[in-house]
Amino acid sequence: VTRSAPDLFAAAGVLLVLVGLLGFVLRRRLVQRILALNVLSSGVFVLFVALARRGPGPDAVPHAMVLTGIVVAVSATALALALARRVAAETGREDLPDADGEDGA
Amino acid sequence: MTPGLLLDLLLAAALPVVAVVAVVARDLRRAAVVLVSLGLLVALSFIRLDAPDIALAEAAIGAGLTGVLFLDAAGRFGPAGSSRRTGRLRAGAVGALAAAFATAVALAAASLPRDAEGLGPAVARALPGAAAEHPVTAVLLDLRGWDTLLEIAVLLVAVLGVWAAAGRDVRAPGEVPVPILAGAVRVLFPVAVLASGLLLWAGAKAPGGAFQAGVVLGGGGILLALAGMRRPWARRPALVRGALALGLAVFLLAGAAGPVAGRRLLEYPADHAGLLLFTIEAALTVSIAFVVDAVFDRTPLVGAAAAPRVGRREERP
Repeated sequence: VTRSAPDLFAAAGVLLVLVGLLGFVLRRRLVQRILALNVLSSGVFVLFVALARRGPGPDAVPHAMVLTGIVVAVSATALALALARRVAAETGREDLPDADGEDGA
Repeated sequence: MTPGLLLDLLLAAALPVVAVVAVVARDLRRAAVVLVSLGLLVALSFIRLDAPDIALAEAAIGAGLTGVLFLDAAGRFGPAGSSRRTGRLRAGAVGALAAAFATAVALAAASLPRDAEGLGPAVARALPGAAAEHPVTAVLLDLRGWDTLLEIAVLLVAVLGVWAAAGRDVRAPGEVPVPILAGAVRVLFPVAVLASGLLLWAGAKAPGGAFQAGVVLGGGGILLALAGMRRPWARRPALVRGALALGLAVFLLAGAAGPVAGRRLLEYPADHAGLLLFTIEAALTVSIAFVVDAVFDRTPLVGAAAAPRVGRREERP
């Protein structure tokens, strides 16, 4: 692998973080926000693994941390989706009202 | 330009594009499918970055299980929902802030020393005394076992949260039994069990381990549920509770045995470390498989009258 490859993936990771962050704030439906959070966490993982590859050899500690992160991310996703279902069941809505009470429909 | 670099370039360019499509898609089903492809591209990227363990986990968990959860949610929420739009001014401000944040992340990453050794040499030094030969497994279960112990606890809490939030909105029993699906699952379920055992066994020496193995095994349970086939554990709450708690319990016992025998917490006896580690990993695999099954099924365990199946599935829009 040439030297520049990890940098390419690090840049891609940062872009994934950007896309996920934008989606999380700008999308209104809860499911889409949870999906955007998944994109964001993928970006963090890609960035982390790319940085771990820049040294002389792959570093097992960041790898283990990302592995843990992937598992925690999916359990958080499952919980968040269950909560979104509950919100829909209780209110009939797929999003949350704004903090200032404005409905903006 | 070497073929490897070209592949890296294509992958790195594809990641953000696919991510935008996933986030922008209005149809949830479409968004879920694109998210799965993003997960697979991320898994390929991990292979290119010499991280096969994470690639396996990403393919099974990030792409597979997450995709199943979102596809399932797409069935519940329908293709397009009422979408309020964010005001143009607010969207612009959010965009500027997010771009500033991403720039800060990029600068921070770029400012790290290029040839830092990292913790690789420290792991290599600790490896001869560790309980597993494979560096990532050694870090996960021995050198940094504390992280993994808490991780399995997080999974248990997530299951409790899913059960608490589920209320009456639980999975309806075998909706439309499709003969072809059932036939395929009869073949796929044993393959999932076999693959899971292989991943677990390989973990000590090669990429693999409890988390990948557990998710593949739990995926087998999801297949059974999707095909409307009987899951033998569905009406045995004691069995499910025991299986869910097994991983944390075995890990805690093994960790607590250290101080009792005059070692440190989570320090394993040198002569049985390999066997002990495999026992912990096997217990973790079983628990993780049941976690996966439980967060998909969502049916809370209610005493002896388990899985009452009272939940009427809401009408699909």
